[in-house]
Amino acid sequence: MPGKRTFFRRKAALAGSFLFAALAVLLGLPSGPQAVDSKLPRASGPVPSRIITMAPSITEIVFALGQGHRVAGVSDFCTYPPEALEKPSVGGHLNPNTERITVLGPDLVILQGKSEKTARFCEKRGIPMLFVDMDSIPTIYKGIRTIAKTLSCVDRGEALIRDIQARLDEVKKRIAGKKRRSVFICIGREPGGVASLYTTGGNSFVSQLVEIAGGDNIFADVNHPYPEASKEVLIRRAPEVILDIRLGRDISPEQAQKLKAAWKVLRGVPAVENGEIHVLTRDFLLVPGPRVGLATQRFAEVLHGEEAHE
Amino acid sequence: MTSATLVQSPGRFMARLAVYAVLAVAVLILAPFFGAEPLDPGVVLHAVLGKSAGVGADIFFLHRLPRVLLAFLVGGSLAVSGASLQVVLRNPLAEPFILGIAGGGAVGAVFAISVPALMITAGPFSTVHVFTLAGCLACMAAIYFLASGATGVSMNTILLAGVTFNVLCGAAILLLRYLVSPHLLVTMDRWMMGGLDVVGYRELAGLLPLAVPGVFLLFIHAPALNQLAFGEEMAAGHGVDVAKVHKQVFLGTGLATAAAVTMAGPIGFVGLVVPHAVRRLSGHDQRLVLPASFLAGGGFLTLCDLFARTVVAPTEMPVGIITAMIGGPVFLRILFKKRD
Repeated sequence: MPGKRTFFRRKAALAGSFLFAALAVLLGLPSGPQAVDSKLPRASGPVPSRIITMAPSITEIVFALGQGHRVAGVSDFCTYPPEALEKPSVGGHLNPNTERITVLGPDLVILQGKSEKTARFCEKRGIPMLFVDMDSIPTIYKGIRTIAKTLSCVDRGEALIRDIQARLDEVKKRIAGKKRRSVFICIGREPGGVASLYTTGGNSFVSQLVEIAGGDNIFADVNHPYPEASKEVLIRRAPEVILDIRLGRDISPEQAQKLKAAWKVLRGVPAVENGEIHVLTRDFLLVPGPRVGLATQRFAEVLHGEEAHE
Repeated sequence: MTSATLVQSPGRFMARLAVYAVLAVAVLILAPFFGAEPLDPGVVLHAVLGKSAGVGADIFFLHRLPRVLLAFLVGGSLAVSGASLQVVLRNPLAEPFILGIAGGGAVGAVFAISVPALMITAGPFSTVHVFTLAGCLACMAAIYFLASGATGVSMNTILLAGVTFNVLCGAAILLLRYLVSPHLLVTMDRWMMGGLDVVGYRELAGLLPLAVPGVFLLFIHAPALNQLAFGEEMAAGHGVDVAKVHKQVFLGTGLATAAAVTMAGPIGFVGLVVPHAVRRLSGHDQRLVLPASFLAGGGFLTLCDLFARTVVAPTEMPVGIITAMIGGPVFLRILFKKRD
């Protein structure tokens, strides 16, 4: 029954997409395997100087390109770099504050994914838009190039890409010759237990970063970017390391111990037996922006036992 | 419907119940043998005989079996609660969540999720379980208190109160969602979709003290519910203490639903549809409808969960989606099928 199976798979993908759509867009995670779709408002003309960036990944890129002074507003979820916090906040993906956007009078709104509400508003108001979709290392580079071109700083864009590449190369060099490790990447679970485990499929950039860092994602064969993992499959695939990613929260050592203890019920899994469960909290780990090199370094440190600067 | 159609010969009654029981037991026995990973039944037999316990045995005994049992208990509790409430509230749209019990539980769960630093464990229960249970029981207590009013409260009032509880809980959930960090919204949404993810038997055992008395309380009132189906005055005329039955049915459904929601979240559809399907298939005698609903609801949710954990392997999907996807068409078929 291949037809029926595909149907259910689609339904599951739909459900998963629904669940993660909010998180994905809020964080600037990719919404699907699409290439950069740039709809440039004008081929030439003055460089936009009142930009609104609607996702953390975009804000980080614009600031990394040294164009922070052109930013008029950012989304509620843009917390990096610190200068971004000083910019007016214009709501989120699901609840854009259109009044605030109007007051700020932007001459460009940069969006990630399908931000229908904001897009429709901008279209009605004649505000130029730029869409980027960054979901893998190549599309992140492409996104940086598109934004750099729009802001007339192509050289800075290339420099930023070289910087990321240098970091990734450094990680590759450092782990060369080291044994690759099988990894379960947990990006969400019900607090207090190991129910509803969310992981990343092979086509998500998180999985790709872990691969570069010398890890083999045990759910890399899944085509959906953020699926809910089956625990019995997890047990059979016996990961050596579990990465328990909990974003942006201050977690005390005692709380980290409690978080790790929740995994004990999965006895027999090498990561659990050997205490190779790592609670990671840094905010850049799930943002497909200029700090992916940093994220990869962090993954490499954890995977190869070089616990350094967190 | 006349009272004549209610009365069934004891032989026929037992035969019908036996069919439900046999089917339910078959589902219970077979379901653990299917899953995302292939499993050699020989491994299970070996482990039962105490010979060797490996990963295969762990998957069977620590993951699949408790999950199947939980699905059966939750499905059964929800279906029997729905069946009872449909009679007591005299409303075919009544279901276990109509009185706001799941809403209260959801507020508890959302609160527990929104404060990640809150790491309370009580026996087998995690923070989310503890707060969900507290929310469910608070709502149940409110309904019970309302129904215990000095003058008889009409069932319409109770129904409207339940709807109001749900609205209030919805507002509280929206407020919490508005305040929390966006990372947590996904976990909240996932909880709302329902799931039977469980490892080991501790949680299951912790819930039995709620679910068993709850379901038992409903079963013993089945004869009274038969009378109530004809109206409260008629039932009172036949010697039924209507107020007492109402209160105890609310208590029973409250306990059973609280147990189900605490462990599995608000899984929809089972409590609404299974009792109707059972009545279509086996008539309106509540002495049959209640136990048959328990068995059919348990079997149905077990099968739905089997789908949830196998069709998209190596991943899983929320069981609430499956209950609606399978249950909807099946129920429509039963609804429109000409009765013989």
